[in-house]
Amino acid sequence: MGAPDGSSELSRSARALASAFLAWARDDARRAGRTDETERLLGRARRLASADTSSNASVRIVLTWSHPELRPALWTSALGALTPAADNFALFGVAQAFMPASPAPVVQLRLDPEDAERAARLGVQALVTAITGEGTADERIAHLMVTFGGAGHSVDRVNVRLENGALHQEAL
Amino acid sequence: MKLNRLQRSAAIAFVAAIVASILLVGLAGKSEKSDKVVYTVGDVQAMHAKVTLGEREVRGKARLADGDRLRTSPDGRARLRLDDATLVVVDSSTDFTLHGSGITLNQGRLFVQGEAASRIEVTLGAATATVSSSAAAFEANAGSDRKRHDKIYCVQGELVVRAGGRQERIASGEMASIESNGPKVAPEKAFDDWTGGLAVPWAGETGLHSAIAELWGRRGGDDPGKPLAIRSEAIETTIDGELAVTRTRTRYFNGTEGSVRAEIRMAAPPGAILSRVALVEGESESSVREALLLPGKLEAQPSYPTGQLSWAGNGWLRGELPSIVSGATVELIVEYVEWLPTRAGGATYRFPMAQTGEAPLVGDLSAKVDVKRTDTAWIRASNGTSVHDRTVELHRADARPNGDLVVELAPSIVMPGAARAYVTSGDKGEDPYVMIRTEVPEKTEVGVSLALVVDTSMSAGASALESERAVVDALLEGLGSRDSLVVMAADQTVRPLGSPKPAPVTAALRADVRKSLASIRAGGSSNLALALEHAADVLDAQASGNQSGSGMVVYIGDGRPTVGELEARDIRRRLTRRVGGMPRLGAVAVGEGANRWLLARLVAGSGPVYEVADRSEAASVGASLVADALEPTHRNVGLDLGPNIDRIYPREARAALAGSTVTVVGRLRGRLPARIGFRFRDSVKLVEESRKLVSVTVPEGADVPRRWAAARIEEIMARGDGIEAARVLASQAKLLTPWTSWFFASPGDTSPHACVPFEQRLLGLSPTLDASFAPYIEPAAVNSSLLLEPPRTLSGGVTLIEGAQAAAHRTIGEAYGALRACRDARAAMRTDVVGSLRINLVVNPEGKATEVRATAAQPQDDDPALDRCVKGIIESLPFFGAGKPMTLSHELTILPGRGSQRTRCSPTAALPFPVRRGIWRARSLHGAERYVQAARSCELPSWRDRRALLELSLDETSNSEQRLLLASALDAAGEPDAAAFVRNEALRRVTTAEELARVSRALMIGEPVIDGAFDKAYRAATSDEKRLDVVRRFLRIAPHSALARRRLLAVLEVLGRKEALVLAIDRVRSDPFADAGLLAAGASALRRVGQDAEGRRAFGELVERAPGDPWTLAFAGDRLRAENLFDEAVANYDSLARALPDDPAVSLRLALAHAGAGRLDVATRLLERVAQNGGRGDDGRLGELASMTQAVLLASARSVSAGPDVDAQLMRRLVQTPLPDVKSLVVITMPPTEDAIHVSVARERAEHDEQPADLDAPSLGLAAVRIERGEGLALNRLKRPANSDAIRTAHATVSALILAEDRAASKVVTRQVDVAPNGVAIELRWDGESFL
Repeated sequence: MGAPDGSSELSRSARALASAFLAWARDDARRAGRTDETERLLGRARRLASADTSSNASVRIVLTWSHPELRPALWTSALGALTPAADNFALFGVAQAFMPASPAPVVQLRLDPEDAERAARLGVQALVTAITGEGTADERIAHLMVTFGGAGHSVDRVNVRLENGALHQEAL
Repeated sequence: MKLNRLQRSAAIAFVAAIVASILLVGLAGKSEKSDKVVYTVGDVQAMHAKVTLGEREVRGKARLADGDRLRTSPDGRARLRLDDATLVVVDSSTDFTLHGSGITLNQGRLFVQGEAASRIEVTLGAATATVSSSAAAFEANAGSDRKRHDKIYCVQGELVVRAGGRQERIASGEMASIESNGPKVAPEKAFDDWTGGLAVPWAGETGLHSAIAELWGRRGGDDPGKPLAIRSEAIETTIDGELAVTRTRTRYFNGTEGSVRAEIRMAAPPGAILSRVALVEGESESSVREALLLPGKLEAQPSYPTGQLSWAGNGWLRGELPSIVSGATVELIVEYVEWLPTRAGGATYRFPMAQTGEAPLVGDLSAKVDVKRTDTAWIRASNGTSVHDRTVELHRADARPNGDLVVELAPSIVMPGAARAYVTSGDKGEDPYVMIRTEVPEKTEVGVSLALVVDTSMSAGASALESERAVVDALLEGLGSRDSLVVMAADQTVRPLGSPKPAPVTAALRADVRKSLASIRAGGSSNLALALEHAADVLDAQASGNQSGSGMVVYIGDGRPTVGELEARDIRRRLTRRVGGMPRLGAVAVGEGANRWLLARLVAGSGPVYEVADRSEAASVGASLVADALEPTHRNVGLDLGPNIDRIYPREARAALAGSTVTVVGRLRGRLPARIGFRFRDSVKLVEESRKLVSVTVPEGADVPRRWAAARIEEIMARGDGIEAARVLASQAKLLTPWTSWFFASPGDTSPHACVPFEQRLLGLSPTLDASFAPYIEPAAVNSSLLLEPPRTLSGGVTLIEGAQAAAHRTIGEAYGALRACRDARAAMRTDVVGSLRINLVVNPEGKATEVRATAAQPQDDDPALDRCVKGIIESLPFFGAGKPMTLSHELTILPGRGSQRTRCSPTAALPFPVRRGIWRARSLHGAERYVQAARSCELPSWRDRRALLELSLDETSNSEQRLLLASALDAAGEPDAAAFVRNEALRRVTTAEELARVSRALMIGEPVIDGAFDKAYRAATSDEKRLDVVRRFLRIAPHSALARRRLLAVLEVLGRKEALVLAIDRVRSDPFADAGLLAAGASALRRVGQDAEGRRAFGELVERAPGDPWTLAFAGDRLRAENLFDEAVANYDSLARALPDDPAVSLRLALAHAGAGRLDVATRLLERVAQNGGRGDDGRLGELASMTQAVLLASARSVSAGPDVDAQLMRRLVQTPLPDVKSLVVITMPPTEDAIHVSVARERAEHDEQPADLDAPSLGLAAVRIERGEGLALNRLKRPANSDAIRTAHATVSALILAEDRAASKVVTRQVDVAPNGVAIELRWDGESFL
């Protein structure tokens, strides 16, 4: 539908979602020891990654959510200080950022305080997926489910750090 | 017993009747038995060997019969199109049988796509599934446990599978595993897509066109109309020998409420020539109106008083009929003639009825194909037909024909090893026409050799290079271990990617090629002829046995050569001059700007040409190319017809598929020869044989004169001789062309009639079918001109604060995506949230945003949550710290996204793409409005459709400003993809440097000129590191600053930061707005840091950006000369000389380049010519400069010992050189660069009175000073400006020629000097004898 040069918003969000879906499927297949399936999925991920990754960004971080009233924004430390990620597609339920693996990548999920209160009340969640070396033999996939508080309290900023191949939620 | 007479008579009659009956039955039985009839159900195309149908191997295309068993080898692959429109892709190692309406898959994998009208049952083991309006992949495999492991994957739609007494539904994305107790359905996570992209099941199918004419009743305006009911379609074909004459009568009924004007759309089969068009109005046969073939007169607003049928491109015919009243019937009669091609012993007649999209409903469809006069021993005909008395008949009522009517036969007239001649008399006093047909020998081959030439020149660009990679990737997947491949990257040079010679296609080779290709970046100019010649030589060097014959050179790129041979004809000439002759050549035109007509002419008669506009089309083209290359082919097939036949067409030898028919036409000027010569190239060996020529009685309806005229017109068009000669010839021969049409005019009328302009009637242009006409109808886009001249001044501009403010506004603009995300996030909660915001902020001295306040432009629209989000974004942005606080107010409008309103599909949406395009063209709405309307009416389902409509809109604009306005309008309409496409196209369509400058200003409107402030800060910096800091800081304000970028390259080079320097140069090279001086500086720096090859490519890009532009050619040549790349400089100057013949400055440049390369003779002869002619256009100074330079060159050459003969020659020429009557002369040669050396002279009499050199041409790198007789000392000063961005010294040669009375005794004194870029002059004092 969109321009096939891959630079349109639609293409970028489609690739971000496809990357996340494939990563989860690979993770499942690896855990279950389904080697053939893992290899096939890896091949697809490789093709996807070749269209996206830049030379110095080896980690793809994808934020996905499904609740229509949740609209988190993804901020990253890719430029040193926290800045909004280039790909925040609120209408499609996905945001993504590419970051170097070192220093340890940090992303921040931001909500407006009003939205955060609603998210806490509804108990909605967002999933952060980090794919390091996507499509390569050394690929590592990590994911972390993030909530925005609970009954009676809400959190409008959540920091997530990728360290030692795992995602950790950090206190602000 | 005696019988009476009556009884006897009765008995005799009875016996006679019985005998006669027996004889008749016997004869009849014999007749039916002699016609072996087989019924066929679809087409199969071998995509890779080996594919067997029963026991015979399929090469190319073949028909499938009910009950056929098809098998593919481990390398084999095939594609099927059944006559009910079902498409099937067959994988390797597959075995299946066709039966009735089903397929039984015994082994292997199939991908089946069923249309709404098709329905096919696929059985694998105990399971059966029906495919209709769906697509599915089937896999039947015997596992190592000897049990079956059958699987069905539903790709699209849904399936119901029956097995083990159970039935299960398989939804899209689900896989059914067939187990002993029935199917087990589960979601599929990773389907192994062996088809290479399920979206391309029928590669090579470029759109099916039906020969059943459709009439669409229209009431004018934007009304796309509605099809008139087709009451009947009667097809009557007579095949006589190898000639088929088809007559179609199609009856229509206007069932609408009013009168309509009817638009005709139909296709003619490839190779068919229309011989009659007529119309029957009403039911009476007596009211037949014959159409006349007359020249057309293109009119923008034509009226159609009589109706017409015209050429519409790509095999289409289009026209209009006069008003048809409500309730009336009309019948359209069309007749056409085809000469059936023979292949592998059989000829195929095909009446096209399959079409893209839903076929029209035909009330009564009947067809009769009479093959009695072919004496065929067998007949194969489409399923659903019947054969009676050697006539194939078809009768269907209320039918939507999805498949073609195909009849295969073997005309007895076709005899292997002999040629057939059809002679038709010409008009009175004219030579007879002759057509000669003969068959190319069969050939057995096992694999294919391909030499791929991948265009990596700069014009390919990153996007097209990606498409080229995808084509190569598809080819790699399509080839097997029996094939061999060599891949070459081609720009101004050719280099192998992986193996330098054809090597078997193994997994290792695939990996090697992919890796090499991935590392390539687009750059350099394009020397297409050199690349093709090299590839052909590599292929021929490898040629051996059968493999070489199917060797093919395939060019993949934009078909826009910028150096060397630039025209298809010249490139073909160069290739034909090879020892191995013209190679078999295929081409893939990649990208929007590809010159597909040049490529079509280049490969004409030697191979296929395909188009890939973007990556998504690469897979199907790759697969088709493999299938084409695989077909056994002979190269350089030609006929020698002897002296009695002339005006022969085609003139050049061609490539022909093994076993196929070749046809030539000519004019007979005497007796028909008894034998003719037949030659072809088997591998690299030229085979010549003599063939018997048999004169054949010309069948009724034969169109030999028309065929000759058509071939001659093709030749005229290909030669570029203009359309008028072709138009006249076509009118005389009654031949339909773009400039002649069938008009329903009065009998006897011969005057030209108004016909529809091409932009209104064109339904497509095919590089295969329309190559000869197309360049006249849709000329290839002129070359872009993407090279700005160096700025005249590098100073002035705004203050630092003003620049910083502009940069701050730009920074906020660049954060648009994040700001829009804020709006989108709020839109879910507040649908009325508006996108007009006012942002106030203060940027502190360090560049941090403070006191940020975001509000809606109108207070009532304010949304605090949106404001907070925007504020957060603004606070995170890094601004330019100007050293003092700045207050800023920024107005921002976030454009609405794509409308969420429901779409309402228009009737146009259901039409085939070419027809839709015609309707878009005729709409009253234009530009962005038309685009949005079409998008919301389901008329743009794919990017291909969108691109086509945008191109249409772009074609309606006349300049860059209009294109940029269109882009802005699309942006405002919420179509950012379309806007981005239009902006790219706007840039690609720039044709002059002035236009580029305007586009550049329009696109960089927020970028200030800050050269003055920058220069001040740069000069104040005390070290190179600090200078680098200054440069980087100011580049944040003005990223495209010509001055700052020049200094960035210079400082990085001084600091030895090679990696950063190469990166900075890469950015400059990929910037369309980089000026020529900056690009040359980058190219030169690359060579100095050890990247010589890349530096040369970067120089080549100067010409690639503005091919053919004289200024560019001169500039590039000068810069190459400054780099001592004299041969490259000569190549540029040669092109310049072709563009500006007899220009003395060009000759002078060429001479200096030749002299630099040591070619003294040609250099001095060129200088001599300038000396003789150079002064005519000016005051004679160029001529004098040339003379002086020539004299210095000759004298210098004499000083180097070269033997007495050479010395005598040089002396003679020196004596003959016209020189001023002076004591001595000084000639300074120096690099012709941006910061050229200024030469001045101060004479002894007034040493401080410094004057410019007597003859000064810094742009040529040349200056000269005359030292008059009686003059004393002369001080020559060589100086470069102090504010130069150059960091290296410039080398100059100062040569003084002391002229003696006897010119032969003249001597030359030379001094080499290096001039630093510091404003300090080098002084050379000349005392008349030596430099002091």
